[in-house]
Amino acid sequence: MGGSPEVLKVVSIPAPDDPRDKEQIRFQDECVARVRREVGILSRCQSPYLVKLASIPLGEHVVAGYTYSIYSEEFLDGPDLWKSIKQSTPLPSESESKELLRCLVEAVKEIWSMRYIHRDIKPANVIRLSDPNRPFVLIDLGIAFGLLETGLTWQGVPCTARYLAPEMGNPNFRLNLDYRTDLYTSALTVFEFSTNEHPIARDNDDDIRTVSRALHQPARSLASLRADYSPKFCMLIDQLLKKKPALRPANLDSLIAQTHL
Amino acid sequence: MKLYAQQGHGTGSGENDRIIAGLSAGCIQGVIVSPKDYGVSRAQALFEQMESQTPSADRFFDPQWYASILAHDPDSRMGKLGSEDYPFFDARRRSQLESESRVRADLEACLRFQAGLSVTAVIAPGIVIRQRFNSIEGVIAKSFIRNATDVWSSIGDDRPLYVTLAIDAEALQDRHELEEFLSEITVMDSSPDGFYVLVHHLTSEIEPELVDPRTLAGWMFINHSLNLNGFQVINGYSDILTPFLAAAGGSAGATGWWNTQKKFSLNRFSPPTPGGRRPVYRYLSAKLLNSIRIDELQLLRQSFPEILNDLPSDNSYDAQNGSLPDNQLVEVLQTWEAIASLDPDTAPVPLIACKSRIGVAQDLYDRINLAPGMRLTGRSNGDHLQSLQTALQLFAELAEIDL
Repeated sequence: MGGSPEVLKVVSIPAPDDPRDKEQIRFQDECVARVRREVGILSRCQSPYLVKLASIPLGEHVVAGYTYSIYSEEFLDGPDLWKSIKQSTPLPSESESKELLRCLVEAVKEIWSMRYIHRDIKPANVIRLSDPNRPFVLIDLGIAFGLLETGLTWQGVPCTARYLAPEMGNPNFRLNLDYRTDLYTSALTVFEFSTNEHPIARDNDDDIRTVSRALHQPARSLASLRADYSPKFCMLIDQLLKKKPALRPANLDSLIAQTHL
Repeated sequence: MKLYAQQGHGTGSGENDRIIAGLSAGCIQGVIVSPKDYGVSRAQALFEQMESQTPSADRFFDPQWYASILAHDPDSRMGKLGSEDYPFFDARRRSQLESESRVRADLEACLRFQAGLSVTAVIAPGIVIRQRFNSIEGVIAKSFIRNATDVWSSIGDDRPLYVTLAIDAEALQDRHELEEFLSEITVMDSSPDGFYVLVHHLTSEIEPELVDPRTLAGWMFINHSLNLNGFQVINGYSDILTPFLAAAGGSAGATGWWNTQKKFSLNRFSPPTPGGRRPVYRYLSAKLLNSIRIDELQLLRQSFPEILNDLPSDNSYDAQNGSLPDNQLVEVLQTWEAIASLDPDTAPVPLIACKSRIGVAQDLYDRINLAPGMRLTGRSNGDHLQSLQTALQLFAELAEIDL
C-alpha cells in the first residue's frame, strides 16, 4: 500500500435466506446503507480526533456467494481505552482526563456539524496515541444517527447497554435525539478512564439491570473517586452525566474552553 | 443576583421617581420599562438619565409583544403601547404568527425600535405559551426564539440580545413537556445572550401560597437549565421569588410597586373589571419571606423584633407613627432592599441557604402564631412556606440535585 499502514475494514452483509423475504432484503439494504453512511461521514470529517479513511475506497464485493462491504481506515497505533481500564494501568492525571474530554468534545462537535450523532462513544471506541497532536481518536461510526436523513430502522436500542444514554431508553428517542447523547457517553468514558470504574454500571449485572441503572440510578460523583481532581472538573463531568439532556452543559465551545490546561 | 425595577404605572418624577430613588439607594441594579405605562419620550429620558447618573445600571425595554393577541379587543387596555409612540406594536391573531415571515418582520420592527433607545441590551418579543408547551403557541414562541438572533445580527448592533420566554404557570407543571421544550431551546444553532422569563398567571392577585410549588419548581428548572447552557436569565415579575430563582441559576429578578408589577398576568391588558381599591401599605420581612400589613408589623414588632430586617429602610416604618411609611415610594424601596438582602450569592450553597431560610421563617411563624392575638392571617400567613419548601424539593428532583 505504500507509506502509511492501513486497516482493512470488511463488513459482512447478511444474505437473505429467502430472496423473496422483503424483511430480510430490507435488513440487508440497511446494513449496506450503514456502512456507506459511516464512510460518508468520515470522508467529510476534518477533525484529527476522528479516525480517517485510507486508500481503499468503499466497495461491495461478492466472495463465494457472500457480500462484503470493504474499505480501509488509517492504522491507529495505540491501545483502546477499554484495554487500559481492564489492565488497571495507573490512573491518569487530571490533565490527561481533560485532554480526553477535549478530544471527544471536538469529535462530537465535528460529527454534529453534519447533524450526526455517534451514539456509541465508549472506551473501546477511543484509541490512545502517542502523538501529542492526536492524543485520543474516536473510531467506529457504525451506528451513527443522522438527523437530516431517513432513519435506518434497527431492532432494539442501537448501542452498548453499559454506555446507554438515558434518553435512548425512551421509545421515541429518535424524535428528540441530539449531540447531548454523545456528551453523556463522552463523560462516561472520561469517568471510567479516570477511575477504572463505571459511574453507574456494575460488572456483574446483566443487561436488563445495567439498562435499569442507566435510566434511574444517579451517577457516582467523580470527586468521590478522584479527590485529587479539581472540584470544577469533577462538577463538569458530574453535570454531563445528568439523566436529562437539558441539564447537560451543551455549549460545545465553552466545554472545550473548560478543558484547556 | 441583580434586582431590577419592574416599571409600571405611577413611576413618579423628580424626587419621587421610584426608579431613580431605587438606583440612588443602591437597592436595584436596573430597570425593565413597560411601554404600556410610559411614553417613548419619558422612557428615553429615563434611560439617558440612568446612563449619565448610574452608568453601570442595566436598562431594558420589555416590548410587551405578548399583549398583541389581545389588542383586537376594542375594550382592551393597551395604554401607551397602542399609541403612535410605539409603531412596532400592532394587534396580531395567532394564525398570523404561524407564518415565519410574519414573525421575522415583527422581530425586526421591534428590535430596530429598541436599537434606537439607550438600552444596555434588547429584548426580543414573544408570545405567552398558554397551558401547554406542546401547542401552537409553543411552536410560535420557538419561532420567535429561533429567529431572534439572526434578525438582531442583521440589524448590526452589538448590544446583548435577550429573548422573551413567557409561559403559563399551568404549562410549567407538565414536567415532561417542560424538559422537552428546554432540550430544544438549549441547543439552537444561533443563540441569544439570554432569556427574559415571564410566568403568566390568570390574575395579578397575590395569594397566601404565593405560587403553586410545581410552577415554581418548573420556573427554577428553566433558570437552572438555561444557566448551565451559558445563558443569562432575567426573571420578570419575580418579586419575593427572586432569591429562589437566583439560587437555581438566574441572573436577575424584578419587581415593582403594584401587584401588577409583582406577578405577571395578561389580565392587566384585558378589559377592566369593576372594583379595586388602593392596597394598604405592607412591609416585606426577609425573615418571614413574606410581606405583612403595617398594622400587623406594628402589633408584632415589639414582641418579635426579628421580623424587622435591620436595614436602613426600617427607619421609614416608625413605630411611633404606627409603622406607617410616608408614601408608596418608601414602601417600594423597602421591598427592593429586603429582597436584595436575601441575595443567595452570599451563601456558600444557595439552595441550602434557601432551605434554611424557609426553616427560619417557619420557626418564626410558629412562635408568632402561638402568641395570643398575634396570629397572621390572609396574605400575611405562612401558607407560602409549604409551597416554597415543596417547590425546592420538586426542583431538586427535576435538576437531579441531592438537596
